[in-house]
Amino acid sequence: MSLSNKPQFKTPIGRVRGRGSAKDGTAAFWHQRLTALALIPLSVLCIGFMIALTGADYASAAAAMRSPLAGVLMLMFLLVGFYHMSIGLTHIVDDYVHWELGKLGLNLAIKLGCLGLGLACILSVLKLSFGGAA
Amino acid sequence: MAESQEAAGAAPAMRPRPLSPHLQIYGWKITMAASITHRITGVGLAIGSLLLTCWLLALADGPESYAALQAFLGGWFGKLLLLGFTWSLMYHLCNGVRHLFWDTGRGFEVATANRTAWSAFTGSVLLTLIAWVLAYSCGGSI
Repeated sequence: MSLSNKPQFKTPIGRVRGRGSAKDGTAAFWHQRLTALALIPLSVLCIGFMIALTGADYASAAAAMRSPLAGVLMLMFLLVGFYHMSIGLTHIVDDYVHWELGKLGLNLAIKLGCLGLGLACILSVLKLSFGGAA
Repeated sequence: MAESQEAAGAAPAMRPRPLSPHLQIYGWKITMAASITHRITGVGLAIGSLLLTCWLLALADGPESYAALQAFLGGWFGKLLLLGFTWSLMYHLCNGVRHLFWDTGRGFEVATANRTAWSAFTGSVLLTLIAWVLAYSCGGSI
């Protein structure tokens, strides 16, 4: 990379010419915007739902989660939200971590963490939705 | 090193490029605070997502787990976490709308950017207050 002090004999354009374009350079940027837009109504609805459930006992909370509308709303919020979260956290790591191996490890951990948390949430919502809780 | 390269007829070694002044050169501005707070609240929300995951897992697990989690969230530390979670979400929402507005190519004038930054901060505090008042007044109604 150009950050090193070694003399570079090729011009910047010469270094990248012939490597082809990544073609997906703007995908994360665009998906971040799309998910952000979707999260405006989804997060407001979810906040409303959680406010209504404040201090609810187990039976009423589980009953509320059994409603298909609540289930679908929650699943949409979780899918879009965890995807948005993985893009955002990766963006932060890319900005501040300059050690390539550390960056790779952190970004893998972020992807795995978001996938794991997202799946744990989704499995819980489905179980509650199908009335599987005790 | 540079001299010998030039003598050998190679391209002259790159002079150090001029760098734009970094953060410490500038005075602290509300737009800078709004920008870094957006990132901090984003990380805060990632931590908050653990809370949401715990809530859903506990609810799916059964009454004992749910009662234990409710007891934790009802304590002062749990309430502090929930307050931070709520404000982070509200701020990230308000400032996120500001970012989407910028994406349409508008709102970059200094006066406008300052005004919307202040709006994001005050709006998030107001929305947090509203959410908590609602939670205390009509919570548990479902």
